[in-house]
Amino acid sequence: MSRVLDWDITVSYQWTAGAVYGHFLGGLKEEKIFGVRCESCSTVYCPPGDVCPQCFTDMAEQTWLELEQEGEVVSFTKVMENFFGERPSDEYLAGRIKPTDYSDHPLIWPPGVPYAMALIRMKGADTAFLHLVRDEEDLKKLRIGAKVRPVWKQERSGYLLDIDQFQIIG
Amino acid sequence: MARKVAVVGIGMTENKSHWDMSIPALYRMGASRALEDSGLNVDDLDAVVFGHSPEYFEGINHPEKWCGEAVGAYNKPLFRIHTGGSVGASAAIGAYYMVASGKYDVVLAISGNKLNETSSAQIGLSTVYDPIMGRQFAAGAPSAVALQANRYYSTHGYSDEHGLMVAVKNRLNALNNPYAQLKLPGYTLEMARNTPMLCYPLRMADMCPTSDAVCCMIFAAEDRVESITDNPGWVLNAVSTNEGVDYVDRDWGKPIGLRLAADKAYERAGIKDPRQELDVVEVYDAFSAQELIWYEGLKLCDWGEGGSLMESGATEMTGDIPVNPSGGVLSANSIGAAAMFRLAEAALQVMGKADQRQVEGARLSLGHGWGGAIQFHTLMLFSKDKP
Repeated sequence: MSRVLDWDITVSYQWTAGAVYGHFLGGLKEEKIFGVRCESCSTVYCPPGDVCPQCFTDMAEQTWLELEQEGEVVSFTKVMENFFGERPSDEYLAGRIKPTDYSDHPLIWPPGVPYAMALIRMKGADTAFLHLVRDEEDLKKLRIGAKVRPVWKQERSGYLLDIDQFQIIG
Repeated sequence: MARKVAVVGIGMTENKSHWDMSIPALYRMGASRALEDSGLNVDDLDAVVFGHSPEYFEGINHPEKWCGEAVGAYNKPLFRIHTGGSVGASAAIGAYYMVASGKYDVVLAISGNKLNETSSAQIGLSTVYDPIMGRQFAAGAPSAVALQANRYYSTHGYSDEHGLMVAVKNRLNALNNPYAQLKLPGYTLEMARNTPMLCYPLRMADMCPTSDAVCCMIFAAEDRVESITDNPGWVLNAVSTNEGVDYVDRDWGKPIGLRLAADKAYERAGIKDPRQELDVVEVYDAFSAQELIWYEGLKLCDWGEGGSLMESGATEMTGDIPVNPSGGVLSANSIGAAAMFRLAEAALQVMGKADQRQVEGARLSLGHGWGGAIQFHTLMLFSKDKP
């Protein structure tokens, strides 16, 4: 006889942002977007990272630049369903003693679909980072090459979502 | 000087929900089928390379601890390799290197997952995103690949129709593969078009199924090959590249890392025109659009011509360079085994053992694995003829 065993695992983690991410996140708290320039190859990174992938430079020692609050959409996807309608199969659920409730899972974000996940390159930066476009009108206008600006949250804590979303300006 | 190495045995489990088998039992099935195929005994194995994708999928940490004996590694060297979706190919490359090095004569590579054991593989895949920059709005693997697909389509003036053509081709090919999961007889472009848009520009038809599966390959040194099998799959070479996540001008629709790997593999094998010289290719098409992008990375066509190559019919079973006769990852995706299936399928082709999905007279084949953020690429070239 074949049996299926049930187990839920809940563990909490704290991820150290460190000097480089930390500088960037600190900027967000003050409504600023920082890029970091590798002095060895002149690349301006936004998002910042701990190492320059091209020359292995320690980015904690490099130059920070406050970037203009305008970016360009390099690519995007419109997410129509949270995890694409993925729910455990009936077969899976039938074997469960305690069905999982996903409604408050920390990774279910944002609560409403559709939203767009966009790859945005800020003016003055050489690389691009992921963020949101989710205003209904903006979603209609969204295209590769669209110009965007950040919309800041009132309450900011030094977190990527201090930028509530990006708004299309051209 | 590296030794010549050949694949002497392949074992595959069916891709499906294996509710009747534990993870070690499924691994054992893959390993025992490869041993049976080669005629070898578990005592003939000198070492094992074990592949498995992120622990988050099954909630079992360090799975090689649980599965070591099930893969024939009792009292033997056992190494685990992990490179995300490409893990199966990386495990195979690891085993190949071990034999080529002269240190071991017969090494078994095995890789798999039981993706049905998690309540959400996509939540697991969302934890692959950078925890500080981007995980906040990740929607599993599809959202990353959707960015890649959108970039690719828009740069070259293609549309999601081109991806759907791949989806149809591979689903029809899967009908010939007893190990594939998704079998859709009579599947048409019209049916694919009518599936829901999940993550623009990717529809349900552009996505892979959730599978439980294990794949296994046994590699042997030149002086052992003859006594094991009459039709080995000779390994010409193997190449792996990590492209990196974030750098200047990174274009998600242009796989520089794959191109680097392909250039190196072809150069070492003396291949000048891959489209002409390769007989069959198996690529890691977790999402339909990726197959078009990989065509370009693998130099089956120039940059920007992947969609046109698909339109031309060249990569169909009846074309001059069939891609994914097995049905590809679009028809079976356990993640852990998916990249090894690509290599094993390519090897089966030159061994003449691909049954219904055999490309007539195949002598030179290529298998490809992809993993990470459009990032890890692994290739292995196989030949019917001893190099």
